[in-house]
Amino acid sequence: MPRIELRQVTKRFGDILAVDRVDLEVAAGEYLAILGPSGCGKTTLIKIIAGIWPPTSGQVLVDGRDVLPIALEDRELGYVFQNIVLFPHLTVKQNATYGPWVRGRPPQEMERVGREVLELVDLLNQAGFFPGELSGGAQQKAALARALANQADLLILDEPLSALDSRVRVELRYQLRRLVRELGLTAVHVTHDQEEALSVADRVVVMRAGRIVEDGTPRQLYEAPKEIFTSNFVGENNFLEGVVTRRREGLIQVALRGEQYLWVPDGGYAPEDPVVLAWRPEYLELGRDPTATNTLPGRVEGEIFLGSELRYVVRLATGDRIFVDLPLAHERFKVSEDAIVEFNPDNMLLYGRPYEGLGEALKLE
Amino acid sequence: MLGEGQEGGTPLRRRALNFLSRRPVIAGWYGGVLTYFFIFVLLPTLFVLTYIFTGFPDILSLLRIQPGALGQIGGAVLLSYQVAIIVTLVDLVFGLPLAWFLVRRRVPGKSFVNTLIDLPLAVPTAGLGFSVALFWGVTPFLMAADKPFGALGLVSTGFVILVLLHFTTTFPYMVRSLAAILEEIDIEYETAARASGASRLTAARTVTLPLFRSGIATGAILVLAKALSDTGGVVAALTTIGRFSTDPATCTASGDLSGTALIGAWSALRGMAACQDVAAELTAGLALVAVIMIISALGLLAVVKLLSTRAHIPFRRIFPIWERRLSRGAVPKIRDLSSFAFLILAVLIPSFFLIGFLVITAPQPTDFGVFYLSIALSFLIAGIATAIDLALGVPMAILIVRRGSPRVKRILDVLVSVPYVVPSAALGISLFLFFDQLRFAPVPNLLFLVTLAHVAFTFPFIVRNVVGALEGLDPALEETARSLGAKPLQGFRRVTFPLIKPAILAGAIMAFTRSVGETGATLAVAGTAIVTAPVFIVSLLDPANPNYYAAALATVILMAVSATAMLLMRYLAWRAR
Ligand SMILES: Nc1ncnc2c1ncn2[C@@H]1O[C@H](COP(=O)(O)OP(=O)(O)O)[C@@H](O)[C@H]1O
Ligand SMILES: [Mg+2]
Repeated sequence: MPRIELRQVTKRFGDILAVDRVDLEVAAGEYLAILGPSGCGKTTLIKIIAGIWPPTSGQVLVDGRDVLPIALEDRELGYVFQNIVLFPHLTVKQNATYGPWVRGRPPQEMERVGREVLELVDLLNQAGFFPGELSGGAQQKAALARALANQADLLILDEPLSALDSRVRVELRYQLRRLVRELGLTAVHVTHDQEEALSVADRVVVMRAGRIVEDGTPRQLYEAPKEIFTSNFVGENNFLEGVVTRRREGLIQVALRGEQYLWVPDGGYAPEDPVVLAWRPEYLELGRDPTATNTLPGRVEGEIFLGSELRYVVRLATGDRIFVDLPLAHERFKVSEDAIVEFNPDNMLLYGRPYEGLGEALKLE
Repeated sequence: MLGEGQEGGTPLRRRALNFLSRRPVIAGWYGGVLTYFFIFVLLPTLFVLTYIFTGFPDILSLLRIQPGALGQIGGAVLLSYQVAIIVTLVDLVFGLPLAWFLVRRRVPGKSFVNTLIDLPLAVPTAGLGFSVALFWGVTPFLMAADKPFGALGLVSTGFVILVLLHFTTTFPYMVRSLAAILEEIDIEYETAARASGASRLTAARTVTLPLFRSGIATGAILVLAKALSDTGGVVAALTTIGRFSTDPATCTASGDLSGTALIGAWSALRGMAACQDVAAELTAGLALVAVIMIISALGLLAVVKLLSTRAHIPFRRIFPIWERRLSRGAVPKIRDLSSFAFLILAVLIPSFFLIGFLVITAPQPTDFGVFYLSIALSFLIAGIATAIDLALGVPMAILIVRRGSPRVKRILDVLVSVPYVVPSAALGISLFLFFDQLRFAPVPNLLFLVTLAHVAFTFPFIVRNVVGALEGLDPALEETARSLGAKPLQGFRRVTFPLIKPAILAGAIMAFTRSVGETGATLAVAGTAIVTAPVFIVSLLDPANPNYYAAALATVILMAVSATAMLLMRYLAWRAR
């Protein structure tokens, strides 16, 4: 199982800085997800890891050894390309056994490996088809089979599930996870889908505009994101901007717009500091009791049925519009009805207000 | 409503547009185009095939007075094919790495190499033949004092000089067409292959080449057709090394004659006063050569097409260690270097050797009147032919792409390509026979016939180019314009035409330069009665009275004109981006 280390890796395409001084470690046997919006440099980064492109500067080490001089074909890895690139003139089976074939493996072994990997992705019944005859999802599975057939310890996946139906995607996600663990591989999985990243990986790296913003376990990133960008890109969040007015016994009073105030844990902030308070929609409560503490008054503007939950769109007295997700069994509210939103400080995320402004800090590029 | 309001213009103009856009008018126009194509292009091209039956007595009479004629024809056609096939294979061997290099490598100076490769295309083949023979060949009629510095003087056989000549005339086509199609193949396929452990060589032969086979077929057909069809270069080269001669006394030709060289020789003889009583027999011989060349060219086309769809990965067996070794270190460098060496030694130096010759050789007395007249005549014919090409070719292309069922489309597409692969000299003979047999009274003017022949072989350039451009366009564009109220003609003029203009211009320039450089068709139709510039160049090489200085001068002038046209074409293509 290889351990990968990137040091100050940078890639330029003319004026575009696709990857900007990235330091990254992938432990042996780790399943790492790289998560970021489209165009943030994920593909570029893993192509550098795989040896498809050389970095403009920086180092790539595998098990402590500099691998830049090693040619792509000698790298020993499985790679699933974002645009799939199955060989159109070869059948699914021939595609899947391409790696063993060009390495000169004996026919019996090719046959066995081909059968195994096609079975894994459930494509045995379409082994004789040409890629052009497959659905997008089946093509992606075949690409995965081709990568696995290389029998390498390092698996690199570039949005490998993007073309699949949501049900198959969830199933294959689970399969991938199991496979990587069973075969003892190191895996790097690129995706722009935060749900996919959280559910498949041991650790998630969040990228934005060529840089790594933050990394951590899925739970850490969801429950305690250190960066405000992450708090919004991973899961959803409601943000309230304000200024600290008073501090007392580990609590601060934050003045929001519209002369509204909330008391929250101080998080190291002092009076005059501009701050942003954030709550995920499912952590908020909606009630009718105006005397409850830590509440702001608002009015229900709309409701959205989410299946397992009901989402209320609420306009607060501060002027902010927020989402509140409540279980279906919860007491119901009508549109245009006044309601009281409870902000439980235990579930709150607290950030200093970004100097470039909140909107700018949350933007995807 | 909206469209009418926007069109404005004078009522008269609007009414004219309305009239021209009416269904029957458009149908009539298309009908006219098709009629012309069949009567003046396709029918004459294939007409010669009927001659086998109608002209049978003449053929027998030819065999009686020249018993060796049949053998000579067979030998000539065989020589043509030997040369064409060897040239195609060698071009492929050196052209593939070069095309690969030009498309897949990011190196400084690439566009310079690109222009260098195209330059020989600007030289008329008659001039090229002369230049190549001066460089490589033994030159018996050249004064020792005039031997240019650097001339190798190695080659004295027709076969070798023809192979060398056709490297220079065809290699640019091969590299161009291979590069154009390689450009379309996603490089990610090769990357995916290498990520699976295939060395560069393995990836190339198991993935890229199989995806590339239609490109290889296109390149091969282009080169075969060009090598088989060239007349001017062949006659010029063979004459210069003394392997081509005609004897008016016996009305026979001798030397290392290829198919087109034989057509050139017999056409010239047929036009001579001394041979008028055997003119019918010579015509019969010409028709025979033409028939054989046309049928075999079409057969070859079919074989190559078939091979390209049937061909699979050459060897399924993989030798990982050896292929890896061949993919790295010295081997790829040697491969790239030898392609460049081939380009320089076999293409560029022989092409431009003439310029050096012109600089050092002493001027010879020359009849500049005939000289300028021939150049003017060439441009006149090329201009008229290109104009007719445009008027007919653009509607024809639209017809192929936008109208009719897929089957009709495919048939038309193939038919249009027929004059492309048929040697232009054979085409000229066919055209001549067609009008000769029709017994027009008065007999059609020779200049008119020559122009018709030039239309026939340049026509595909316009159609091919415009079809290519139209296929890349979304028909929805024009439909949107129509749905906004534009008349069909308006929709075309406002939306489609501006988008395909570069392709039309490119086709026109190709057709024009091709016509200016053509020797074979002109000779075949009119003998030496219509002296265009290439015919003039060939006549200047006549061993009885050679004027190499004037031949070189004429070539360099044509070269300059064509090179300018080509640079203009590149500029237009660049501006269209
Ligand atoms: N071959 C290339 N040439 C030029 N720019 C590129 C190339 N590949 C990627 N880029 C640019 O680099 C940036 C990152 O691209 P990419 O790594 O594909 O992002 P992602 O995979 O996260 O969507 C983008 O701005 C993209 O336009
Ligand atoms: Mg990507």
